[in-house]
This record gives sequence, structure tokens and C-alpha cells, in this order.
Amino acid sequence: MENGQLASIVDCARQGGYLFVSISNLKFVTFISIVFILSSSLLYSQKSRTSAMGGVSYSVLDEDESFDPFQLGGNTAWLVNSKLQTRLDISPEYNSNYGNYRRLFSAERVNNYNTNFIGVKPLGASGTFMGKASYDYQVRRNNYRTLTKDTYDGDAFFFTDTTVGNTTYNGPLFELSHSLKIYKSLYAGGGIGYKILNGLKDIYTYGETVYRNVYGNFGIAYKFSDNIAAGISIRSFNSQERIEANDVNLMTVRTYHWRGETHFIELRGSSQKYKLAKNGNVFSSQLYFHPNNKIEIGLDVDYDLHSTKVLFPVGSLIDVEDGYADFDYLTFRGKARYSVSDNLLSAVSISAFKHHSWSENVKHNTLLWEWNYSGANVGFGGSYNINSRFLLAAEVEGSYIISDSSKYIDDRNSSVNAFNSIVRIGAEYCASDLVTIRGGYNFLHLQHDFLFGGENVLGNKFTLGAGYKLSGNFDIDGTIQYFRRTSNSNNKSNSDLYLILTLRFFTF
Amino acid sequence: MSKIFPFLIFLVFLFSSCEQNPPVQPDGEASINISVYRDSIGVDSTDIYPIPVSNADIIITSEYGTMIKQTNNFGNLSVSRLPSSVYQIAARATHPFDNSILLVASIKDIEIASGKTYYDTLITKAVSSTGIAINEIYAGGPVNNIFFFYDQFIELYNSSDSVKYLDGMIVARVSGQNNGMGPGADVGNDGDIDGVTYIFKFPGSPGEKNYPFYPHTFKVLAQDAIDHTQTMPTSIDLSHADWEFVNQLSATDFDNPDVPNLYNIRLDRTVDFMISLTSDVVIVTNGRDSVWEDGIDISTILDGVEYQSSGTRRLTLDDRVDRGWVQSPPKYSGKSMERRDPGVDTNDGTLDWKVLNAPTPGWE
Repeated sequence: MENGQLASIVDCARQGGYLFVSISNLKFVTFISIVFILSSSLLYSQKSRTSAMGGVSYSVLDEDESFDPFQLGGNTAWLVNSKLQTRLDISPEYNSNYGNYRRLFSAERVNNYNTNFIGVKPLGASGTFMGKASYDYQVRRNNYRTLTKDTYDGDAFFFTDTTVGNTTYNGPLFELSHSLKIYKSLYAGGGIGYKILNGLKDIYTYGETVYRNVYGNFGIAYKFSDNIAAGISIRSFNSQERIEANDVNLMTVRTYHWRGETHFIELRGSSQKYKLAKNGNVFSSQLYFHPNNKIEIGLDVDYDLHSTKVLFPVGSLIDVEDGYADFDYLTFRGKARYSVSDNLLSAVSISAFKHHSWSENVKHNTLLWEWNYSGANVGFGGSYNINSRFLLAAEVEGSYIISDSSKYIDDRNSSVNAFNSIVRIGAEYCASDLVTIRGGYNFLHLQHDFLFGGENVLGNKFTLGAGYKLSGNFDIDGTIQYFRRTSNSNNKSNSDLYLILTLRFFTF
Repeated sequence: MSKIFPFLIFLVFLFSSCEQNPPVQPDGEASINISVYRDSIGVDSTDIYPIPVSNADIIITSEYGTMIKQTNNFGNLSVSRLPSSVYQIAARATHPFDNSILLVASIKDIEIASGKTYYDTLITKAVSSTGIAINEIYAGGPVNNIFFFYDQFIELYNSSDSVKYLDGMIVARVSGQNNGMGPGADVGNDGDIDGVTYIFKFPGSPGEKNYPFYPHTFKVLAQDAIDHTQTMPTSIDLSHADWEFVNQLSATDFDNPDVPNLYNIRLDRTVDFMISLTSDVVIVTNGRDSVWEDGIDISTILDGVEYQSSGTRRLTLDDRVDRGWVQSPPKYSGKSMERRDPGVDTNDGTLDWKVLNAPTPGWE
């Protein structure tokens, strides 16, 4: 790539708030050692540029789409090398999901209103600091029976009442991360986060929810040479969701504790309490390889172990464990980019995963559900600079998934193999030095939808975005996305509308 | 790269050690095989042998609820794909030669693990209720949100063919023994049940014959014998009740002059006869033991019922009074509890009772 062209691209990309960091400027690393506490959520910045371009990712050069240990594997140790520029993003966003293609215990419509503040501050020799604060407000309209926040979380336990009503969740989230070089080529980083939500289903049982999630992460990265780095990290979380259903008129509350989809225990009383305790760890290792200016390769292996306990409070201090669910996920991801020429970039993404989960009736030590889910995903893509102002990108991905589900207590077993695919295309046009316009389209085909259960699902997603540079230190980005998926097996569909506005400051 | 691979291998072993193994036994694989028999009395007068009871109702109850199945022509029932649980199994059928006789049998607290099959043979007993029994309890109140429950009533039924007399009989609420063995239990194992909360008495003394109770008729004992629909439209009219609980020590307890009264004999209680909306024990006695302080002799109890709201609680009423408890409807639901067959008391509330969508005072 000629220096002039690169400068032009950099300038255009920065228009949208992103600075392409030449991989040749990065120090390449590897890691060592052992790891401790960490998080389920990491401090990623808003990917508003690429999401406005139809969600293309690995085929586009972007600060937030790097394959480095921080971006690909969530290793905070590499934050100091991944985020080199001071930045503060303030992003109000709105998301609405609605339609009749949904699962039984769910809402007709879910509206999310969030405001996020994400700040990155390089501190020189003291490393890099990153912080996030957000406030979430979610309304679930006509929530069907369920009283839990994450009804379909892969386990066999559901907690419901008898009514359809609106449920509201709201609360803040705080995250802090810090990364620095601790010795020669050794980097360390960690972060903590805390989220708390209050929920209320405003009908009949008046199910009140207090949800809190504490999480943290720690990682180490080592730079073996200028073109190879590796890292290891651990993320941990501990969450608790406490639900109390009371009738405001002191009448009898009837709730149902489901074990599987067929059998339930009816619970009655003036007050019903239910608690979900979840915790887990994600062990992760990353390898980042950058042999020359044309090639960038990132590998990541995640081993995710987490569990859910269903607890019934007895008295104020004692909880009786009624159910247990275990989740064991192994995921491998690899991404590579190659600059074919100054204007053409090709990329490939591969991943493989193997998930195993099961749910137990603790009282009887019996297996309620067991689920094996494995597969592989291969994607190819590329981007082409038609000129210094116009960028086109496309990605094609296919996944082959094998799922074996044994719902023993429901006497229901299924084995499904499916090939799912997605095509993404995106474009970015720098209309002037101040204005950038982006757009994109996705076509999705799911032979089997493992999320909602439909067959032959088709989806179309349209994205549109624009960026405006108000000054050298202040940009505005706006993105709108519309996604609609239709299941041809039952002629049902749902839609997702997403709006985000990002105010980005490059100094604070 | 050579430095990395040993480390990755170490990680694989490290992470593998964190895995937890699932239970070996899948749930939902328990089975029940039941055979139901009766004796041959009525068929063969010289020899008694078991005869299969076909088309008998098998009531299978667990924490997951109740299912009712029927035996086949050979008196057998096989149910599979059941979850692990503690089951109560009861059988009931009408005697083929006499509709007034009920064949009943039950098994309690059978823990059936998934993967196992429970086999049993139930030999039914012929039950022909011949006395006074509690037939309906309406405790939960009508549909309302102002805590109105003053239309409670208890209905008695004389299922015998002879006239009975109510003179001196006692109706009591027994819910005061909340520690240890629970309400209705025989604390100290001295032949009585303790914890009398309210105790009201029909006029007269046991053995007198002033208040007849005719065969196959009902008697409604109202908390307040008035037309409650005037106060609460969703309630019921009890102005024509047969008896009314009146606490003579209360200045505010309503007394319908057209309805005879049961009077309070526990003098430290100054309120009307009220029972819990969803969980309680009610007994009817012949009145020969009215000294409630030391408990009511079990031998004097004609009938007793324990009802509960929670499907997971255990029976606390002494099993000489009744061996099962009744699942009560939610409070303020306008629903009632009633015997499946009027007056048929097999001493197993779980088997004998059902929930009615609306109360039926005096006519069912």
C-alpha cells in the first residue's frame, strides 16, 4: 500500500472515529504464566463503523476489528497495545425486537434503551486505562408467564406464573480495566465489572427481581518477537437473580417451578421466592502472528465452564438447592488477513466449537436434560478500495452444526444436523473530509434455527450509517439497522430494529 | 512456538480437571405397575379369593400434581415415563353389585427412582360410610380484593340410613399446635389431638335427641347466616343455612335469629368461628369430650379434615382421624373443597376430596 493511499484511508477511517493502526507498528508478543480472576464482559468499544457496514468484520481494517489478543480473545493485557488513542464514546442506543417467531415463555416485544459511556486513556508508562458506565432500561411487553430474566439459558428450569404482563428491568453497569507493561516484553491487565438490575412484572404476582453480576478478568501477554505475541487470560463471573412474587392484595400467589418442559411443581403462598445463582470461568489463550506488513493472523481458544443453581430460600439465610445445570464450552477461533495489493484485502475466518451441557434434579440426582452441540464455521471475505474514498467489503460464511438434545424427563430426543450460511456486504464512502456514509446488507439462511427452533429460516438485514467530523477531536456516528427473519416452516417472523448514536471525543 | 505447546497441554489438563460429571441416571424413566383386587364376598359365599377390579380409578399424586388413570379388564395399570418422585397411589371403584359400596385402597410415600419400576397389588376394602361426615368446606372467600371471607361455611352430610342427632356435638378448629408435630397431631401420644383454636358446640348434650339429622341430607353451618351477596356480589347467600356459629362473648358477632346457633365453649375466645383460608384442620366430634385444654379424644372424633395450600407439605393430622390432606384452592378464588362422593369417607382426604369451582351449600 502506498503511503498516500494509506494516509487517505486512515484519514477516512478516522472520520468515522477509527484509526487504523498499522500492524507493522505493533509489537508482537507471546505470553507465559498463570492467570486469575476475570470477567464475562469485556470493555470493547462500540463497533459502529463496521456494524453500519453490514457487520463485516475480519475483511476490513479497523481498530476495533484487529486480531490481537485484546480484540479477538478479550485479553486485557493487550489493551495497552490495542488502544493507542484517547477516546471517549457516549452512545445512546435503542433496540427493539418483536414478532411472532419466538419461544413460548417470552415477550411479544422487547425494547432496550441504553446509554453507554466508554473511555480509553493511554497513560504512557503507566499503561492504558479503560472504563465503561452504562444504564440499561428494558421493557418486555406481554411477557408470557416467565418471571426470570434469562428464560432460555440452556438449562431445564423455568419459573413462571399464570399471566401475561409487562416486565421492566433497569439498572447501571460499571467496568474498569487497566493494562500495562510489567517487565520487558511482558504485559498484564485486568478488569472488574458490576451490574445490577431491578425488575418488575407488573401484574398478578408482581414478580420483583434483583439481579447482580460481578465479574472480573485478568490476563498476561508476552511478546516473543516483533511479529509474534501470545496471551493467556481468565474471565470469571458470579451472578445472582433473586425473584420474589407477592400479591399486593395478600392473596395467594401461584407460581410454577418447571423441571423440563412437561413437569412442573405448583407453588402457592402469599409470597414465593426463587433464586438463580450462576458462576463460571472462561480460560482463554491467544496467539497473534504478524510475519510481515501483509499478513495478520489471530488465534484464540476459549474454554468456558459455567453453572447455574436453582435455589429456594428457606428462611433468611438458608437456600435449598433444587436444580443444577452445567455448561462446558470449548471454542477455537482463527482469523487471518492478507493484503493482496494496495487496494485489495482478503481474509478468512474459521472457528470450531464443542458445547456440552446438562441439567440435574439435585433432590433425586437424576439427569433432566443433556445437550451436545458442535460445529465448525468457515468464512471468506475481502475488501476493495475502489478509490481513496470508496471501500467495498464482503464476507461469506458457512456453518455446519450437529446438535443432539436429550430431554429425558420430557421423553423427547432430537438429533439435528444443519448447514447455515450468511453473506455480508458493506460499503463506506467518504463524501467529503467531514462526512462519511456507510451501508450494508446481510442475507441469512438457516437450515435449522437452533435459537428459535424454526426450519429453513431466511433473514435480511439492512444497515445504514453516517459519520460527521465536527472538529479534530469530536465525531458523531449514527447507525440504523433493521433485521427480519422468517421461518418458512411455520410462516412466522420477527424483526429487530437497532439505532445507535455515538458521540466520540478524542480528548478528555 | 516450541515454548507454547507444552504450556497449552498443561492448560488442557488444568481445565479438564474443572469439569463436573453429569448424573448417570436420566430422569423420566420411572414406572408403576399396579394390580387392583377385591375379595369375592358377594360372588362366592363358600370361598374368598381375589377378583381383579376393572376400570378402577388409580389416583397417582406427587409433587408434580395428580393424574387419574383406569385399570384394564384384568385390574392392571401400567404407567411409564414418570419422573423420580415420592408418590401417593390410591385406587377407588364402585362395587359391581352395590353402588353404595366403594372399594378403596391406597399406598403412601412411595419413593420411585427413575429407572426403577414399582410393582404392587392393592387389595381394596369395601367402604360404606354410615355416619356423619364433613362434606364441604368453603374457607377461601369469594373473589374480592378487600379481604372478605366472612361467608365461610362447613357442610355436614348424614350418609347413613338412620336419623342422627346433633345434640351436644362439637365443631372445632385445630391449628394451634404449630411446633413439633404440627396441627392435628397427638402430642405425647396420649390418644388426643392438641391445639384447639376455636371450639363451638351444638345445643344440648350427647345422647339427647332434640336436633335430628335426617338420612342423606346436608347441614350447612355458616360463620354468619346472612345473604353475603348484599355485601359482596361475588359471595353467596347463607341466610338459609341450617346452623350458625355465634360467639356469645362477642358484642359484634352477627346472629340471625331465624337460624339456630352453635356456641363458643372456649371462653378466652371472643371472636366468631373462623378457619384459615388455605391451611387448617377442622374436626367434628360427638361432644363427649369437651375439655379442650388437654386435647380432644380421638375416639370422640366423627370426622376430621386437614387442608393445605402447599403441595409439598406433609400431613400433620393424626392418621387415626384421616390419612391424607386436601389440596385447598387459592384464597379469594371463590372455590370450595368437597368430597368426591357425598359422605363417602375413606379416611383419606387426598383420595376423598376435590376442589369445586364454586361452593354448593346444602345441595350437593
